[in-house]
Parts: sequence; C-alpha cells; structure tokens
Amino acid sequence: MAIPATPASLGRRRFLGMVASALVGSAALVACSSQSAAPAAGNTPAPSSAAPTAAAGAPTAAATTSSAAQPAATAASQSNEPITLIWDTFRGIGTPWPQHMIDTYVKQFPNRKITLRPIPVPGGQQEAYPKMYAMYAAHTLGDNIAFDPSHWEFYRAVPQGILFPVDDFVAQDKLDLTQWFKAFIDMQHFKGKMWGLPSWGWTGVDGLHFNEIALQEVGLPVPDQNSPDWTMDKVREYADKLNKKTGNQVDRYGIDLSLGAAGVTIIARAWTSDIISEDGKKALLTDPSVLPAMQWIYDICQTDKVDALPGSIPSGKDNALFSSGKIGVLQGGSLSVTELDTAIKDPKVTKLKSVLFPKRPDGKRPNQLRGGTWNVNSQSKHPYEAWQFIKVLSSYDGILTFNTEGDNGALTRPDVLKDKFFTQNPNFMVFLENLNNAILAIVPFNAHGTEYETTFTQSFANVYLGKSDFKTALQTAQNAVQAVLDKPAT
Amino acid sequence: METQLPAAPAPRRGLSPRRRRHIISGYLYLSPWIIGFFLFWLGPALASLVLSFTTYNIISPPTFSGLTNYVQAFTQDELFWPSLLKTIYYAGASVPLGLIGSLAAALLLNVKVRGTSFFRTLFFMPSLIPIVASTILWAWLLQPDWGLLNGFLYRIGITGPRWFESQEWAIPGLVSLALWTSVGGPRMIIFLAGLQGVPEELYDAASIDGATRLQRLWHVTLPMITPTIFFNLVLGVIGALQVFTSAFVATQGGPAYATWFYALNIYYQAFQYFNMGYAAALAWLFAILIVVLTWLQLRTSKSWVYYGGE
Amino acid sequence: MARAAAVPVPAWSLAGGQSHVIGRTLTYLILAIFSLVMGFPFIWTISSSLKTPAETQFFPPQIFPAIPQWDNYVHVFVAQPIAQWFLNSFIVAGIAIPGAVITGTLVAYSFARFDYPGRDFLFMVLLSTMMIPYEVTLIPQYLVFVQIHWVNTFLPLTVPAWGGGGAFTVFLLRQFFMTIPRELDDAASVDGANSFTVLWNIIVPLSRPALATVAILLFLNTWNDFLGPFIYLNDPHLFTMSVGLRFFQTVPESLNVPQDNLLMAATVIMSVPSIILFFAAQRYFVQGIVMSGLKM
Repeated sequence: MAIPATPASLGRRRFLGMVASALVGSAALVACSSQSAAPAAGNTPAPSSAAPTAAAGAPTAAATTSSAAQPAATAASQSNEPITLIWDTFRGIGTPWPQHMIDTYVKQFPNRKITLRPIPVPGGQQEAYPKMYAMYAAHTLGDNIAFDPSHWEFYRAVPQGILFPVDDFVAQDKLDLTQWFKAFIDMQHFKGKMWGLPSWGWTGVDGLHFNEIALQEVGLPVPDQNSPDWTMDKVREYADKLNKKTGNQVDRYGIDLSLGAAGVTIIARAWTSDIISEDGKKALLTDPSVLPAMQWIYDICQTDKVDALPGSIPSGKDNALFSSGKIGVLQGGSLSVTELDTAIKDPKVTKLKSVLFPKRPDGKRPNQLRGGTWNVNSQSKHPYEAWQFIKVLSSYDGILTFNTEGDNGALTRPDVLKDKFFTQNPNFMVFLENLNNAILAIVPFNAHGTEYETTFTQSFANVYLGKSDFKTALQTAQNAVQAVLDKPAT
Repeated sequence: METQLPAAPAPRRGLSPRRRRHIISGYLYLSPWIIGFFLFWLGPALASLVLSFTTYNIISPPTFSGLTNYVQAFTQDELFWPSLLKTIYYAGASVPLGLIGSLAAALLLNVKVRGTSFFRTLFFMPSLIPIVASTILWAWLLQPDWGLLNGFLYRIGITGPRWFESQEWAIPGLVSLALWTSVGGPRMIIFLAGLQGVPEELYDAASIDGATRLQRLWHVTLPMITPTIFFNLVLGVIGALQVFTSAFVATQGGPAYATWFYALNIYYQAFQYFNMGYAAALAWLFAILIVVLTWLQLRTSKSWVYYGGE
Repeated sequence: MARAAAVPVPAWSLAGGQSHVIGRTLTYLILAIFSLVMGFPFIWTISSSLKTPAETQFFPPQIFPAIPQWDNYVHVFVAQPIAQWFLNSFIVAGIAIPGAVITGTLVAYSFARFDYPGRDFLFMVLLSTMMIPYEVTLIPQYLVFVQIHWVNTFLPLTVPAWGGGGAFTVFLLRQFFMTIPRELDDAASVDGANSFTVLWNIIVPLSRPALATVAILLFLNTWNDFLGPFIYLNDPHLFTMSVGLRFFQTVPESLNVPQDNLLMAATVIMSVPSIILFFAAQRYFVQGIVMSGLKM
C-alpha cells in the first residue's frame, strides 16, 4: 500500500544559472520584504487584527470589529459597480466546473467578473501553498482562495491572518448552516471564528473495499458489517485467507492497509483510541489504549505477512493493483469508489464491494473527517462579494457539480448525496452512515500538521517493516512524533 | 592592434598597452556574466544567506534568530547527519558507475554504422521523457513480487530483494534508476563531443607503432578526453549530491527515511514545513560542502587533465 | 597539427580486416539490446497514450492496447489549449536559448583565452552558483521580480539566460575552447585578426560539437522546466507545456478518475520537439571540421 503522498515532481532545475531571476541586491530585497510583509506579524491570537490594512479606502477594508463589516457589506452588495474578483484555485482545474461556477455567479451579478487563475500542481496540493504564500506576501493573492484544513495549512493561515472571518456575513445573510453536515461546518471553525464554507470532503479511509471475486475464490461470504461477529479479528482473518501465494511468489496480497497517519488513525479509532491526544499535544503511540491497534497492524504485516507493504506498490497505484485483482481487500474510503469503478477492466477478475470497519462499543465506526474549505483573502478589497461567490461554490449545485463535473469528492452536503450520481452506486451509499456519525480529525496544537504527519509516516514504518523489535520500534516512533508535537508554534 | 598573447613580463613602468588591452578585452567578454550575476543572482543568494540567520515562513517578514538554525542542524535535527551520509553513499555509487556507463555508451555510439543516429536517439530517450514518467515506470520494474527485474532474477534462481519496500535496497534501486536515465543522456553527448576532439593523427601514429585497440583506448583516447571526463565528474558530483526528484517520486524519502537525502530534507523544511530560515541554513552548509569538494577536484585536476590547447 | 577528422571511427576498428566484420555484428547486437532497454520508457509512454483509462490501470501491464485509442490525442487538444501552450514554450525557448549560447560563448572565451587578475577566482564563483539549492533562492527571487513587475510575464524565464547562459554552459564551452590549440589563434593574429575575429573565425567553427551540445541541453532544460513557469505565470493563457501538462494529473483526495492515458498523450506531444531537435542536431556532435593545411 502506498503512503499517502504527492507522487509527482517539481521539475527541479539542476542548473541554476539558466533559471536565475531576481534582482538588485539584498538591499532591495530587505526593502521589499518589509513592504510586502503581511499585516499580521507572527502569532497574533486574534485573527481580526489581521484584517487588510492596505486596502485603500474601500469601505470593506480594515474591518476589525464585526459592526464595521456589516454596513460595508450591505452597501457593496447593492452597488452596481463592476467588480472583478480573482479566484486562485488548484481544485477542479482542467474540468468545466470552474467556468460553470463563474457563469452561475455572473448570472446573479451581471456587472461582475471573476478571473480564474488555476494553479496546476504536479500531483499534490502541497506544491500550491508555497506559491500562494509568496503571492500573499507580495499582495497579489486573489480574493477567493482555499487553505484546506485536512492538509494543515488552514491552521497556519488563520493565525497568520490570511483569511477573512465570515461569521458576520453568515449572520447578516441569515445563512442556514444546516445545509451542510454539521461536522463539515465545525471544520470551518478555528480559534473561535468561522473562516469559510465546506468544499470537498469525506470521512477518510474508513472502509474496506473487498474484491468479491477473490472472496468467492476462497469461499468466504461478503462480510455483513452489521453482524456482531464483524470484528477487527475477523478483518484479520479475512486478510489471512485472501492472501494467495505460489511457493515464494505472491499472487495476491491479502490486504492493503493504509499505513500513513490518516490510515493508522482509522485503525486506532477502531479501538476508540487515536494516535494523538485530544488536545493535540501528546503522541499516543505507546499508550495502552492504542496498543491493540498497533499490535493488530504488526500482526498482519509481520506475523501473518499478508499486507501489501508501502514501497512494494508504486506511489498512488494501490487502486490499480486492486482493480487488477492483486489485492484481496483494500483499505480505502468513499472517494476510491469512483476511481476503482473506472479502473476495473475485467469484471471477471475484480468486483467491488465496500464494507465499513466494525462498530465500536459506542456504536460508531472508526472514521476521520477530512475536507476542504473555500476562503476569502483578508487582503481582498471585496470580501463580501467574494463571500457571495463562496456561497455559490458551496451551494447545492456547486457541490453536486464539483463531484459530477469537477472530479472532486465533495460529500459535504446531505442533499447532494440524494442525487443519482451517488445513489446509483451502492458502494458509495455505504459511507453515508459515517458521514452522519463523523469524528473530526485532531489537529496538532502547535499547528505543525504536515511535519507531524510526515514524521509519523516515516518513523512508523519501522514498526511494520519488522526490522527491529516491535516495542522498540514503537517507542522510537513515539519519540519522533512527540518531538514534533513539542515544538513551539511558528 | 590587439593580440592574444598572454602576459609578457611587464615593463618597468606598469602594464604595457598590449597587456592592458588584453585584460580589458578579457573583462569585456566576461561582462554579460558579471552583469547577470549581479542583477539576478547575487541578491537572492545573499538574501538566502541572511535568511539562514532568521526564522521565516514566507508569509511574515523574517525575524532574526542568530545561529539557532545552524546549531539546530548540528545538534537537534535527527535527520541532518543521516541524510548527509545517505546522500554521500548515493553519490559515491552513482557517479563512478554513471561516468563509466556514459563513456562506454559514447564509445559504442561513436561508430559509423548505418542507423547510428537512430540508435543514439533511442539511447537518449530516457532523458527526453519527464523524469516522473521514468520513475513510475522504474518503480513498476522494481516491484518486488511481479516486477520484471525480480522476475528475471527468479528465473535464474535468485530471490530478488524487496527494492523500494526495504531500507537496504532502496538506495541501490534509485542508483539503478539514475543509471538508466542518465547513461544515454547529456553526459554521453558530452563524451561524444569530446571524442570528436581527439586528433586522428594520434590514432594513426599509435597503430603504426603496433598498438592494439585497447592500448589505443588507454593511451590515446582517455588522455585526450580528460577535460571532458573532468567536466562530467565535477557536474556529476554536484548533481548526484543534489538528488531529489527520483526519491521524491519513487519512495517519498522512505521507507523509514531510508532515502531521505539531503536535498529532500531541504525541500521538506522549505516547502512543506515552511521553515525557510532553517532550510536556508541547511542549503548553505550544503553549498560549502560542494564548494570544498569541487575546489578539491579543481586542484587535483592539474595532475591528470590534459588540455591540448595549452 | 590537423584538427580531428570528420569521420568518426572507433579506435578499435582501426585494427585489421577480419575482426572488422565480427566487430560490426557485435556492435549492432549490443546497440540493439541497449537501445531496447533505453527506448523502452518512450515506447511505454506511447502505448499508454493509446489505451483506455482502465487499460492504463491494469496490472500486469500489457505492452499494447487492445484497440489503439487514437482519439486520445484529439481529446487532449480539445480539452486544453495545447496549441497556445506549445507556442508559449517555443517563445520562451526561442528567446532564452540564443541568448544563452551567444553570451555563453563570449564568457567562456574570456575564461579560456584570456589571462587577467581574478580570473580563476571568478571561475570558482561561477561554478559555485550551481551549488546553492534552488529552494532557498526561489522565494527571494520571486519577491524581487514582484517588485519590478516581471511576474506573470515571460521576462523572468528569458532575460537571465542572456547573462552567460548559466554555469553549465560556460563551463562546458570553456573546457572545449581550452582544447583548441592556441597556435591557431596565434597564426590568425599574426595575420592581423583581433580577438573577436579569432573567436568568430577560429574558435566557433571548431566548436560546433560543443555548441550543438549546449544548445540541445539548454533546449531540454528550458522546454521541460516546470518550476519557473509555475511560480512566475498566473494567467493560464501564458502557461507553457510543462505547466499545462499538469492539467491532466489528478489531485489526491479527489475522485481521481484515471486520466493516465491523456497524460501520456500530452507527454508524447510535449516530447516531440525535443526528439526531432535531437535527431536533427546529431550530426553536429559527431562531425568535426577538417582543417586543411596547418603543418607542424
């Protein structure tokens, strides 16, 4: 199984001289870096103090109190001035969806325009953030932007004052927030304020995608996820039986676990535990509550040796191997369903049947809410108008077409899930239960989310690679992750 | 009238007009680089040096932090020394093998047989494909259970290693990828160009004296192309030490940091964790290492590189 | 001393007649095997570009698609403004590369043929520009280009090339120039040539293999460069092919409907100019100039 990561490259230059660029001495640089400094210096706890200072004279500028934003917003929304918004996005590009959204907005507000600036990342959204931050520092970032919570930058952007709070707009418009799943709305909140509306979202790798053909071959029934004997031990039993070997040659891996931070969180949550404490300050890898989960992983990977270990699967190709019948059961989520369906070439080799993880004592199944957001740039000269566009993006039509046209997985609205696109696929509908019982992700307190995740993924490998003793490897991983969580916030 | 003659001993009263003109011409021809260097390069380089003494996350202006970053590199970053060692291991394997491979390929292709241009283009193909595509393809070839390489080894009775799944074999796997993509690439072309510069008369003279082909290779070809070898060596070392893309795409630095090269560490610190100041410190330490290595190579080059024009 | 002859012959084939035939067959055989190994990724890319999405995901991969999907290529052109991006890549290359070659020649000439105080020091400085990793100069460079309003134009991608074409270019040309015997320069200056005439009439013609090498490598670098266009270009109509290619790549945590076949088709399209250029320029690597006359 592959570590969730970005598989593509930046096209890195080897010969600097060719690229060069930049200019005029460090004096100019020092001068410009102080000019281009973001209004919010360092870690101001109150995000509202980061409101745009430079926005010249526009009524929406320098709103530090909620009352200031309100009259300005009303004035602007009733104006007929031609306004052009700039939309910087890396999601949905290359599809008709962005234009569809722009057309919807322009129909509502005929005097306005939206300039789309796609950010074509090489296969992982992480590459977009340096560019967006640099543009923000240079005051050239667009009005409509997105800093996704699940990829951690949301928790950096808010304290740095990059985002414009939307609480007042919500109140003013009397926006009904129950249109979206409550958990996704919760995800839009941080440090006491709300920063946007839901965009993409799912409940993580909370499912087990079985290959029904393989099950038939070994004489096992498709698991009944509501049966009381559907337990984690049973999952292991299935993994063992689905594994197929000829001598030393593996014909089919029994199971493909997701062994990055997100995947292991799901497994830890099956035992009502987690890999990080609720307050985001302590790593729990050696905690007694999570040990059964760790042992379970170790047993499948090393004792039984039936897992497709990361590194044996080229990055991002787990679904391809499953579709080719090389994996008995794949840990994946709702978003894999479409990809798997498209990738299955021969229905005699692979047939998809998705099942959720076993229920816990509290009745919930392990899941981890993951999702994105649509934000307004705090430097924007037209925050309310930008907010109006966010409402379009996050509307019923916006979210539905984000799925059907925009190639994104956005299960953030219950009404959207009633559409044929989802209901026609029973494997999709399996995940509805978890959307209604979503468990939020725990964010590291110091907001070093990316480093926490990468450190976990790398050091946890020592556990399932079995090179050293289980307890030692676990302790090493615990120490490494704790070291990251102990760092001061930047 | 300008001349090309290098400095003659200066006359008692300062530089001769000839010498002065010579020096001025030298600088004049150098000027495009001097201008470009000051305009486009010096500023950012100095900025990055200054940044290495700060804490900087791109969003807000840098805050001064003294030597913290450097101290952190040497004492607190658990990945600093391992990443350095792994990078040196990788370079130590890939550079010599790469040089030998490219030279052999160039010698092989330096023939006038029909269709050589076609063959040469095929050899160069891996360099023409974006490295991402090659890396993904190579990852499939090295798949431990079904990949072609292990399949072939199995047929001759060897159980192949687990390649990118294992910590010991990940770097060798990347070295093999590097060889595959670079043997027929720019290095080979440069060797080809260098081989053209060997005067025909030397080969004639050697064969008249009864030299075998191997002796001709050793006594004529190799010495005459030492400038080219030197060039490829210096650049090969610089490039190998900065290995990044293949590790990023194939293994993401894993498994368990096995391929967490120095450049990968810099990248993650800079663009994933946004510790730009720390990344700058890492970068400058790295630059110092490379400068020292290159200077050493330049110094010792005088003893083995032969420039025909001097 | 006469310069290298035009006809490239391997040293070993100068041996006697019988081994000539064996040598030839052996050469062909080795060449064929290696070419297959080397050419394999490109064959693979082409065959993937003609598959259906499900075929690209299937494992073990089949080398050829069941039915070649030629309209993948049509679809690529229709889906995105490929022609515009292609043109942009050509414009950037067309401005940067002549600049790099011309100024690179001048600068390398300085290092190779002139002796002035500070020369060796400056040469080390030149080499050291290759040793600072890009990650830490990228953002400062970007911020400065913002100040002079060059962002969202081709200027940051083309103008710096006119500053000597980069350390690699200068280094390579300098090495090559230094192998040209100074006697040729001297002979020319005795006849009244100045330094530029020597450069133009002696050095440059004899350096065709090196200049061709430099031009091709610069082309590849510029053509395939992703990072520069990515960070400096905001408007999609300015994108180059290397950036546009990413429109066919899926982002993690999306529905990820596989489009590898389209991505491969776009990759093939993007590789074509490089291949053509390489194929056409080969004779310059391997064809020296026969210099008649100078006897020593």
